[in-house]
Formats: sequence, C-alpha cells, structure tokens
Amino acid sequence: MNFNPNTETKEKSEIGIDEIAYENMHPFLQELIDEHNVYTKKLNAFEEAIAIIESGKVDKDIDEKLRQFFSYFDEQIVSYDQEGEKYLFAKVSKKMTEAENISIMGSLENDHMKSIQMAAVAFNMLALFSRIPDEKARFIILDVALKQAKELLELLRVHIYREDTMIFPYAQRNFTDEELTEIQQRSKS
Amino acid sequence: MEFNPNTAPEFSPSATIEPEPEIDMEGGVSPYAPPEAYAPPSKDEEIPYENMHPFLQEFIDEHNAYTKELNVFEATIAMIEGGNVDKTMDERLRQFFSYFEDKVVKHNQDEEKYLFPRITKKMKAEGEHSKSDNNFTVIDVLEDDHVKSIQLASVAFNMFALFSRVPDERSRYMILDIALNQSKELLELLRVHIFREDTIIFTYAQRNFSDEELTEIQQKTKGV
Repeated sequence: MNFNPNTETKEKSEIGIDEIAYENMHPFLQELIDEHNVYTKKLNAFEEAIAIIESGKVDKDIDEKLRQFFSYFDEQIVSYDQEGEKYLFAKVSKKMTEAENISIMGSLENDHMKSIQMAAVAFNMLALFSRIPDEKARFIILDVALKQAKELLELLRVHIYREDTMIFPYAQRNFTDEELTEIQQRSKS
Repeated sequence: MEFNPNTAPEFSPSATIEPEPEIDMEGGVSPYAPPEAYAPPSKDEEIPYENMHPFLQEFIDEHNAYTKELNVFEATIAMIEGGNVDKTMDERLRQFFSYFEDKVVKHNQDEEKYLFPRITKKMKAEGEHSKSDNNFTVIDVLEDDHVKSIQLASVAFNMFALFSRVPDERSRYMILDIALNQSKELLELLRVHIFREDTIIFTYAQRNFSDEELTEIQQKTKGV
C-alpha cells in the first residue's frame, strides 16, 4: 500500500495553483498548517504501531499507542475537521465555481466522513481481536483492522496534502488579510 | 463501506422464516425509544406541520421517510435476534446501510452546512447556550449525533460482514452480538435525534426566522 499522496494529487491539477511559502501565509492559515504538522506526527506514530503489529508484536505498549492515536483522532481531528469545514470551507466554497466545489470541496468533505468510518471500524476491530478465542478468527479480524488502519492513514495523508497545497493557497490568494482575520475570529468565537 | 457476505450464514437450526415482528413506534412499544428522551424539559410548544415553512417541511418529510427505513431495520434486527439469518436479512441490511450512506448522511450534511450555522448564531446571540460554556448549544449535541451515527453504522455494518466470514461458531456469536448492539444503539440514537430536530430545532427555526430568511437558506441548499 502506498502511503504517499498519489501522482495525480501531486500535480494539483484540479485547480492548478502554485504553492505559497509558509511565511507568506496569513497567521490563520499558518495555524491550520501547524495543526497539520502535529497531526502528521501522530499519524507517523500510528503507522509505526501498525507496522509493529504486522510484524507480530501485540503487547500493552502497542495497545497504549493505539489508544493514544484513536483518542487524539476522536478529540482533536474530528473537531478540527468540523471547524475547518464550518468556517474556512464554507467561505472557500462560496468563491469557487460549481465544478470546483463538487470536485474539490465535495471530495474533502467526503474524506472527513470516510475517516470517521474507518477509524471507528479499525478501533472496534482491534478491540475485538483480543477478545476472540479462536486463533483463525482472530487473524481474520486483525487483517480487517490493519487494512482499515492503513486505508485511514493513506486517506488522512492525502487529505492533509490537498488542504496544505490546494485549499490554503487558494484561500491565501482569494481572500484579503481582513477576510482571513474575520474567518479566524469566527472560528474561535 | 463493504458488506459482502459470501453466502447466507446458517446458524439457525430451523430453515423456516418466522413472521416479521410488528413494531409500533407510535405507541412507544419499541425498546429503542426511551420515553424520557421524548419529554425534554425545555421543549417549546410544537408547531403543526402545515404551519411550517416549506423548507422545514422538506426536512420533516425526509425524517418521515427515514423513520420508515428505521422501522424496517428494527424489524430486521429483531428477526436476526430471533435466529433468522438468511439472504433476505442480508438484503434488508444492505438496503438500510445503503440508504443510510446515500440519504441520511447527505441530509445531515445539508443541515450542518445551511441550517445549523444560522441557528447557532441566533442561539448564541440570544443567550440560548449552555450555562457553563457560552459556545455550546443544542446544535453541538445534534452535530455530535451525526458523527456518532456514522461511527455506529460503520461498525455495525462491518461486524455483520465479518460475522459471515468467521468459521468458529463461538467467535461468530460474539461478533453478531456486537453487530446487534451497535445496531440497537444506532436505532435509539437516530430516533431521539429525529425527535429533537422535529420538535426543538425546526420549531425554533420557524419561530425565530422570517419566511424570507428561511426561503434564503432553502435557496442556498439548492445552489441558487
């Protein structure tokens, strides 16, 4: 499985914009990028935990790592996504053409829903794994859990990449500093 | 989501199909409809359907269609609990989960995008928020329900799918038990959620927005 953004995404063909350096971004967008960086570190730790489980090690330490990731996902990522959608996505959506809205914003919103589904399934399958008495059944369950976890990792990484390189530069180019400050204030109110 | 049982699982000793249990939601017979949830202390007087703005009537109509699907799903769950697990049940489960993903999630997204932000703004401006947190309103509870319903539906769906793939009988029953519990929680959550929206949120919107404002929000949902 490929955890890196795919080639098509890297070309950013949908809205064809160039990246903008971090230091030239509005502080609100910088804040969102900073949150993505923290989020990426959590994803890396989760990926390591998954690789260790795949290699056959399942102990309390790994269990703790998994718990940490899923707690972070539930408490931070889900609410972060909701705020992002509410304030920034709504404004960006208004600026975009209908076609851009369907292809880009629609797919990002869909990512949010899919990530909630995948995390719920992976978490519950991993929890079930240790309760099942039959070894063959345990392996089937572990296989489903790991597959969902990897798909979740891939989805979230591509999602972050798209937001960092398409949505935030788009917002930087299409909103004034005052508008971005206003969105920032609304997202904190 | 993937739900593709290879074959109809056969754990029922009897091949005969029992009659479908009757579920009378109107009479509050269902165990998935806790009566206390339907009498919240802060509930305003209800507004009859015919006095609602067409935009809110549309949401209520969707809830009615949605409730019918929930009733069928509840009957399916009761039949599975009664030992009937066959291709018909598989098809009924598929239909419900497809409906949930195609219609319910879209309905929730429309509410979150167009109606809820306006209500939140109004509630905060008028001080109708939590006493301990000025930013917390009933809309936060409803949005949280949307997330929880996606989680419960995904887990239930995947557990049903897993059930038919596991050869060991004891393990299969443990998995089925989780699938059924998640399904029941989902049913309860969605029913209380629909009730809250119909009797608290849509009523609030009808009382606190003008017809012009509601028409404006309605046009936004249609991309006008």
